[in-house]
Amino acid sequence: MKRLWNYLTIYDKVLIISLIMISGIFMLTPLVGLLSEQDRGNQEKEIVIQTGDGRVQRILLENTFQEEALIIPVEGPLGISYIEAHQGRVRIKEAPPADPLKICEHTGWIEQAGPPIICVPNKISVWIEDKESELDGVSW
Amino acid sequence: MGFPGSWKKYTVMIIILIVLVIIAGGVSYFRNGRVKFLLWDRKGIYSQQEFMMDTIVTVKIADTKSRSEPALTETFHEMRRWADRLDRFKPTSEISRINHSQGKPVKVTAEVIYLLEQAREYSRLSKQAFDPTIAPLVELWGFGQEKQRVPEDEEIKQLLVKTDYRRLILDPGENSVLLPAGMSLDLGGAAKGFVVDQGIKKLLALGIKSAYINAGGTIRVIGNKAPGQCWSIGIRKPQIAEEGKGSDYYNNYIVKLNQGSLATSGDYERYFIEEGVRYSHLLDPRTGYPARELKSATIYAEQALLADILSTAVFVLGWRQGQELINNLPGIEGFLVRDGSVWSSEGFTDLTK
Repeated sequence: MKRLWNYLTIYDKVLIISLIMISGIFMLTPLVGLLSEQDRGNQEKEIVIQTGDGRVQRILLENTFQEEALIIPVEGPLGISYIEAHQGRVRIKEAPPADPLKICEHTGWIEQAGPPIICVPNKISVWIEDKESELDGVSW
Repeated sequence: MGFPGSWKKYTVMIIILIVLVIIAGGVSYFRNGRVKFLLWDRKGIYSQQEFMMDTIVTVKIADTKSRSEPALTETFHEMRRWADRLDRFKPTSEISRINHSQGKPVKVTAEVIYLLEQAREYSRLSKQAFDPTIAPLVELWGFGQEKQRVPEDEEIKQLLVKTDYRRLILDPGENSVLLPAGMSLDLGGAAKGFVVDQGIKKLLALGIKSAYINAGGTIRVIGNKAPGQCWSIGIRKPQIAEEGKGSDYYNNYIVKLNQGSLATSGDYERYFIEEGVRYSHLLDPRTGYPARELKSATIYAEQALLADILSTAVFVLGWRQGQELINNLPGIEGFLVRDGSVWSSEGFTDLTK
């Protein structure tokens, strides 16, 4: 082994060492990726509001624990729906007057990942996303 | 060998260092304070949500980003195409053309023939607890429209004769459908399942092996979500909105799937109230009135289409007859909820373990 090492030129050695370093980088990158993924796993629950045109608003649930309820006006084809988030819960407080049945308003509060609140006429849906939820979805 | 002298050695070192930095820069870049890796196209779950068929549709794909993102777009495009073809409020849809045919044969796609064949078959097996020709009754009650009301007995009786799947004639050889004048189709209890199946078909054709589609509560999955890990699906508790409890799911009945479909029919989603009585949109085609015995019925089947049709049929059949139908059909499992109690078929309980 020692004799073999003596046979190598400086360039051979540099080549071997750089190959080891490059392959080391490629071996380590997925590990770093995994670590950064775990960091994201600690994220708290989020309220997600999606409108018919595909726009999405996200609010950390932890930001709703304030004295005053958070009121979020969201515009849809029928008018403005008022979404209320307070103490870790969210509901559609007021559907626009043009919504004949206001089913989403009657759905009430949701406080965990599960079925969404859907306002079909005004094309607005609200749900809670929880990275640690055991569920991928709900049949309703 | 030549090149003595230490400065040459350092030059080589520096060149190597520069090369390494360039490589490292090529593999990763910073975004939002986090290192992202370009070459490392890691598997993850990529999802997209859109409004379709009067509800919200979610598609999730467990694959690499570069494969998932185009597949999501294509799958939504495919599902929307089929949803439009089945929309009876769209004048150019295949269903509208059948409904306005005045008793003349109409050419449709082979897929729609298959859908109608299945609808007819399960109408027969459920002894008409499901019926695709229920549109005149649905319209009379006003479900899906602005003015909903409880019709007179006499009005309902007149329309019951127009609700009869046996008079829907299919010719699979010619891909043609014949529906007598005055009758019309409403695929409310089957369309979501059918569209989910078409979405899954598209995903499989694109080489996706692991995915989940949820169209307004009708769900189908393929493959494990991650190695050795099934997709977990909850079942909504049939709470009435007026009670203000919001929506919640059964903690003890979480279904784990790596293939197959779940669909739920409940009386909580679409309904209206007249003189203090709640009328749900799930009409019994045999009586013309909303079915009342169950609060919700969830069905497992391989295809979403069957799960969707059977959840409607079983809801209408009720507690005892619904259980009978589930037990009699091979490959079908079910979970029923009525006031104060739930029932789960043996196979369904196995799916929750």
